[in-house]
Amino acid sequence: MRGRVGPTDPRFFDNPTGGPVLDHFALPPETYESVFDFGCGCGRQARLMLQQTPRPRRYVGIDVSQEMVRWCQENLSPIDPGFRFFHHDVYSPSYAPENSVRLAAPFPIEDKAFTLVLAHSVFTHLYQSQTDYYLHEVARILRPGGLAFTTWFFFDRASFPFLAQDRACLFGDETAPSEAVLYDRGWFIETIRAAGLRVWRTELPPIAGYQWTVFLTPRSRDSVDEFPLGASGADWLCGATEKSMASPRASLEDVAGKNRDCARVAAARWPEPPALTGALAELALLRAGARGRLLELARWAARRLRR
Amino acid sequence: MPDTPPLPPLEMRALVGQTDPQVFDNPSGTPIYVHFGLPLEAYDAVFDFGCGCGRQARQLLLQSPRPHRYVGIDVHEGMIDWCRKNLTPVDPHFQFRHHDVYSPTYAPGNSRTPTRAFPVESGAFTLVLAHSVFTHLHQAQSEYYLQEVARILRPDGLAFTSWFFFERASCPFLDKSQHTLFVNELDPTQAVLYDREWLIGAVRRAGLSVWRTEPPAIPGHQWMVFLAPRSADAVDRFPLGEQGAEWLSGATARPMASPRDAATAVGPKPRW
Repeated sequence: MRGRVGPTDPRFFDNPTGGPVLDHFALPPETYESVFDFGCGCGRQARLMLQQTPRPRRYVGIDVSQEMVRWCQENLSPIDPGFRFFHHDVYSPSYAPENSVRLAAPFPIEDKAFTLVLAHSVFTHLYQSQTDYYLHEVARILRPGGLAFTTWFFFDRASFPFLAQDRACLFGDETAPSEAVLYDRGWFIETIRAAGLRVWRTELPPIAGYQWTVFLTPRSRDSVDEFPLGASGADWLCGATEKSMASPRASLEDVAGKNRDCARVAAARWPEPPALTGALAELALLRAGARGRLLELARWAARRLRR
Repeated sequence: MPDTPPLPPLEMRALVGQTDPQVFDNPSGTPIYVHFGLPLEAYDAVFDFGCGCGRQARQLLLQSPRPHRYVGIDVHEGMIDWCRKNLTPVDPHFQFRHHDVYSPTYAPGNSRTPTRAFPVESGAFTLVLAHSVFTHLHQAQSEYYLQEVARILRPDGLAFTSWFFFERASCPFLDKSQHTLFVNELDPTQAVLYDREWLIGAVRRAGLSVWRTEPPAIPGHQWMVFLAPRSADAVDRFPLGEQGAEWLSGATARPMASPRDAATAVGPKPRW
């Protein structure tokens, strides 16, 4: 299980000093009162929090992996019944192909209930429509003054002129696109604002293009987002190169030709993308809601992997 | 035999992305790409990989000198039919063949095969055209087709290819075996971006060299790369490192930060 969530070293699961889990961010102690852990896995942060002082009064962890949630229920809840775990029955090509074929489901909790939401390496695996949905869910369950810890891969769309206007993602893996999902910074800030959130603090990655840490909090009228845009932070984005971006020598119109009619005609005649094999087939079926066929595919893929 | 070849229908022009009739025309009869310094001998025998509805075939039919031989292939059977019925009659040396390879966007009905050999003999072509082709191919397909390009080129031949390039140094989440980025989770072939270091390696492995590189007019748009059969003393005219970095997909308002700089925070220091 540790191998599947990433760090296998027991030290990552341990908290011998009893300090708060996000110690280096020096969050106020009251932030740890009630914690919602989105993507709790096999309870790495739950375990750290069980050992910390003060221990959260309430902790709810959800994950797409039923097996990991069961392990947490059987092994961590007995230590403190205030720590509860729920299976989040949403499809994940890499982590839970056996789940119900849907892209999102509500968090199983009431509004404004949590002082801290954790989402470590979660939005780095979600598609645009899922991210939009879950940011709204985060906003719904946060108490006023509550904080959400989120991590992201960011890029700037200015140097991706071929990206369609409604698309804000890049993918690093063709067969399992959710392995690494990158987001346009501009889209991110607009989307969190639309969800009623603001950026309380941004932590740049240690290596250019790696995960950024962004703390979100419910938005108020005079909110200012502590989030770098434009030249600020540009040197830490995915795709950044050894020189800053050149100014265009032509307009996109000149390069693409005078194709105003193109989109209209193409929309009418464009062939439907068909189901493929592997993760793409799964996704296509996911959209069509073909659960039986999907399970068959998942089993086939599992058999192949074993071989 | 008609003097002026007909124009493909609007739907076909839209599918290849160029609807303006001017883009299909060549009223001055100038050899295409001549402004990149191609010698006139380069137009002798042309192989068009991804000929679509014959945009370049039509321009080549109108140019002087006209190629002695032209073979165009495309995954879209309907477009090949159109070219055969409308362009081959203008000059029977212009031949079109359906390339029965799977393409989710352009040919979902084709055989489910990712690659197929070019239907032509080795060392036969002075010019290979592949406009907006490698921008839609997966890494394994690109590797294969670069080798096919090398196979069919004459020793003095040139291949015109176009690419989206990025720098993998600032994409640390990529696996060692991954050299591409995608823009669409359902159909990755809508736009495929390549690490430019990978390209130069793949070109060399295929026995090719870079004869000339044209960066795009807009950062992140298609680069034009002319390839030639590799000779013993070949030098690749291809920018790496700092060179050309400002024209890559992903380039931002500032140069990439060096990993040795410590991470810094934006926003309030802890205030409670």
